Amino acid sequence: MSFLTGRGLSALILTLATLLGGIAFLYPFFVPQQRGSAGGFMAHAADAPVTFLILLLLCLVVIIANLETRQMDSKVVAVLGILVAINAALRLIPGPAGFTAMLFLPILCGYAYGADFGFLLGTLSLLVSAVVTGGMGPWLPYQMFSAGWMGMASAWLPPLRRFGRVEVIILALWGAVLGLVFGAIMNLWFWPYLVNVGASNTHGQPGAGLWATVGRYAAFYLTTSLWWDMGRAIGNFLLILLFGAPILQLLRRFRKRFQFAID
Amino acid sequence: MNRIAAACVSIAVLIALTLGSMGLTGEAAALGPYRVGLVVQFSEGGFVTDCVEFDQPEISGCDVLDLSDLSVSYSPPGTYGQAVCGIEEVGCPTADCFCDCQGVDCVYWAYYHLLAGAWEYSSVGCSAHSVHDGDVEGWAWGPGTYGATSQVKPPLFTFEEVCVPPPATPTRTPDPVPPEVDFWADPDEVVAGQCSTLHWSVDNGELVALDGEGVRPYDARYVCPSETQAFELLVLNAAGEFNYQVTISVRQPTATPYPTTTHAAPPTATSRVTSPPPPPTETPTAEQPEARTSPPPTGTPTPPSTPRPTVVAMLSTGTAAAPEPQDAAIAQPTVQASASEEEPDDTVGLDRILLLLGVGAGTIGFGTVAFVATVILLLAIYFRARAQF
Amino acid sequence: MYHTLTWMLWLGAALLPAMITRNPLYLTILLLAVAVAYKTLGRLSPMAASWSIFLKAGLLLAAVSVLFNTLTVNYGDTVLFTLPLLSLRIGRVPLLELGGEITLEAIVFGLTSALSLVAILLIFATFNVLVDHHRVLRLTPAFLYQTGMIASIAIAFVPQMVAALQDIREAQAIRGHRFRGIRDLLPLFVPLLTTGLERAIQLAESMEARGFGSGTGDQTGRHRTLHRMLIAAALFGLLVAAFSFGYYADSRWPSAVLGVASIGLLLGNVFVMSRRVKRSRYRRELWRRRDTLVSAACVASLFVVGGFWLLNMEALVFYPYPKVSPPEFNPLIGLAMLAVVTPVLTAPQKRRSPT
Repeated sequence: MSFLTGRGLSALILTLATLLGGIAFLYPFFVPQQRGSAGGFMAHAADAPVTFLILLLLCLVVIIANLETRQMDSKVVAVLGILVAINAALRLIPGPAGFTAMLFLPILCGYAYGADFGFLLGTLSLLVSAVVTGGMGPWLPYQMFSAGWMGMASAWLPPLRRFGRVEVIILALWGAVLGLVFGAIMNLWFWPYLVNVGASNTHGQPGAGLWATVGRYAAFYLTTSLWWDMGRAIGNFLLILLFGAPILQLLRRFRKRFQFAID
Repeated sequence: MNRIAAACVSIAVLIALTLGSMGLTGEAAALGPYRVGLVVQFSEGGFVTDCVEFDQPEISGCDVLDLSDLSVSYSPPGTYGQAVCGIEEVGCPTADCFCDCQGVDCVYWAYYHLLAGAWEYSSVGCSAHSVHDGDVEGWAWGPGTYGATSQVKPPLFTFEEVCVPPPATPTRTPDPVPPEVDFWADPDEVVAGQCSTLHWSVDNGELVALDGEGVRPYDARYVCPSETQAFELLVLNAAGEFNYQVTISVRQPTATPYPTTTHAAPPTATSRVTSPPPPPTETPTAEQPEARTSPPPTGTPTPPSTPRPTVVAMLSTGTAAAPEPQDAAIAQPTVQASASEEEPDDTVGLDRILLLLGVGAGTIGFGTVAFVATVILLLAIYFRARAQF
Repeated sequence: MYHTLTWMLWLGAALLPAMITRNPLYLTILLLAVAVAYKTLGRLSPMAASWSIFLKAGLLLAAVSVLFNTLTVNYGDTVLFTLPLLSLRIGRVPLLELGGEITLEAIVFGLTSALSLVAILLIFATFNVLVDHHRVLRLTPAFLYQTGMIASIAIAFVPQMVAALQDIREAQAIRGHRFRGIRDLLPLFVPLLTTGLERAIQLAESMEARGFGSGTGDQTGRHRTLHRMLIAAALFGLLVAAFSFGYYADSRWPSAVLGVASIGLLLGNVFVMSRRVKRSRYRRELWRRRDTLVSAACVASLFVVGGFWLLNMEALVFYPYPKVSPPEFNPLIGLAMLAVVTPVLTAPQKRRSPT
């Protein structure tokens, strides 16, 4: 019974919502594969973006609500608020080649303070920065979700503290990878507008569909957005490599002071 | 400097390659015919074979199906091509192409190539597979796993079994058979200035000539005769020399005729009607009054022998790859016919304009008007509001 | 100038058709309507600069869409010309094909997609310009009050953080520190974080002093568990619905019903949870008669477009393949698009400030 009432239920909700969110992100790859094409369904290919946008918003709300069901400590609220503000302020500083230090803090905080904290920091940073700059767009739910995932995923890294300097190098590499992943999944919001998602799969022969779509996306990604994402990856890598150690130290020091009730 | 030179050279090579490839494709169209075998297994026991001829050295598997006399329905196109939904009556409708599927478990049209005397399941669809002379393509309807396996295979046929007799060696056949020829004009009666299309399909002929000019065995020609004219198709093979005639009768209205250039225009969309002369669907010739003097001419073969009245499966004309809009082909005679029927003296121009207006009003009329009205309304709102704020 | 809720409805009414139709006629009307709304109401907003950024982004995406479609899709009946084919293959499966036959249909498809993208972006740009974002944030459902609180704190502190960044920069510039490369950011980051976290401690203390976290926790554990179990069930239902809709050809209706029911369960839960949390508002927004008018128009538009979407999707679809034909125009849908300009019609005259 305790499984259903406590942490288990929370994990179940999180898993289900993440799965649904994943579907909302990745449906462009599956729609053509599942239904080769087809009249009624083809017609609905055009409205898939709005359907999945709604699904994504729902998932976002559910995850946040799930994180909220515990009464949050005033310290957690305050620290999250301030860190979100710092992250949004950092995003306002234009870096070279359009790079903004946006994923840097969620990754480190997720790693230091846990998955919930990382998810909320990533998600809310994007929301607040959009509110402050007037940059609300169709991409916002996608951005919030992706950045939240990045923060959450960073908490899944094993504790690396005992490795000393290697910890920062691993984190820096992790940041580079996440920078690329972030770009790759962020393109998906407008991908359905570029290709004919939901129409018959590529070669008429089913099966080839999924891989052909993935291949097509890969080719698109390599030719267009990879350069920006490279910038993001390299930026994350350098930032974490150079400042990761002192900032982690800082975060851990404050963690002791706050006596966080996280995890 | 070296780098610039290298760049120049590579650009030049690229351009040359481009031009070369374009040239090659242009040239290749003149070669042929090539042939490919097709075996289609509908259900247990029921199958069909066909030998398909084509002119390009390489066509896609879908083209083979298109060129055969089977009716094939494809899915609405995807980004890379189409899926085969149904062949003849077997399969799924276009609207729901994979109607018998649950996930990857499907009853579907599996696609095979004949390789080394055995059917090999195709990992790609028909539009992604290129077919060459002498290949055999197989299709089988049955259960299997989407894109990976199928439990059915078409019956095994070799290329020679499907494509007999090979016309490349007709002289060696002991009993030379006369060619099978269809030759007709569509329409066979025109008003001066109007054009018609000559169609012919010749099976088992070695040499085909239209009015003394060598032509391909399956082709069509766009002609605009200014007066009644007979066209002659000469077919040579081992059985002898055969002549076929088609007369296009031209009625003379007083209107000025079109310039009579008999250029080899792109092929018009040919309907798959085999009996000459085909009543052109919906063309006004069929509706015109009986007051016609010349009898409808047919492909009248001159001796020595009449071609057998077999219904030759009209494999589509050699250049059917790019059919022209069908309504264009139909629309044109309509104009001319109405002009000739009612007011033969009137200029063609006015009629054209009226027709265009009618077509415009008929197809997009109300919608267009509503759209334009909406846009105007928007602009009015804009200018009114701009004055206020 | 309008209630935030009115703007949210406006956003919905504009966004729904922009996202579900590719018919160029409807999209053109929508674009024009949004442009009129911006040009008349939004010009004077302080956020007006972001409009051009959105426009540029939209045009960039549009160009990518047209180019990508033109070059990679060789399908369609109207072949304009042929380019040499550049093919990338893995084994025998073609991965990407560039060039080849360039068809009118592919170009048209790219153009309509581009139109849709630009319309979506401009709708958001206009929304951003016209609406007060802080008020949007205040619309967060009550049960998310903690997240709303975090976001409010963050928004309140962003200017302070930007100012702090400036301060630190100036302080270091006085000491002769110059920013040359990325390494020089370190003395910027660490003080910023330190001051920020110190401030958070003060904030937490003052929040506790004002009674944060004492009054709102009236959800009993039993209720909470019930809600979460229902939410989990609803999510599971949605997952099953999404899966079966895609997987089983013959179960589209049941799965659609299941999906809608799950969403209903989810929203019902959220509503009940929100009811349990009591929030008071310091300042309420005024709901005027013009809000009623605009909202009514937007709701009507949503009904019309949504009705077509659910019952007669064909009326909204424009699909150029395999042979392009002129798009159809249904005056009712065209009229529904005009709901987007109603704020212009009912706006108070001769007011210089948009808020």
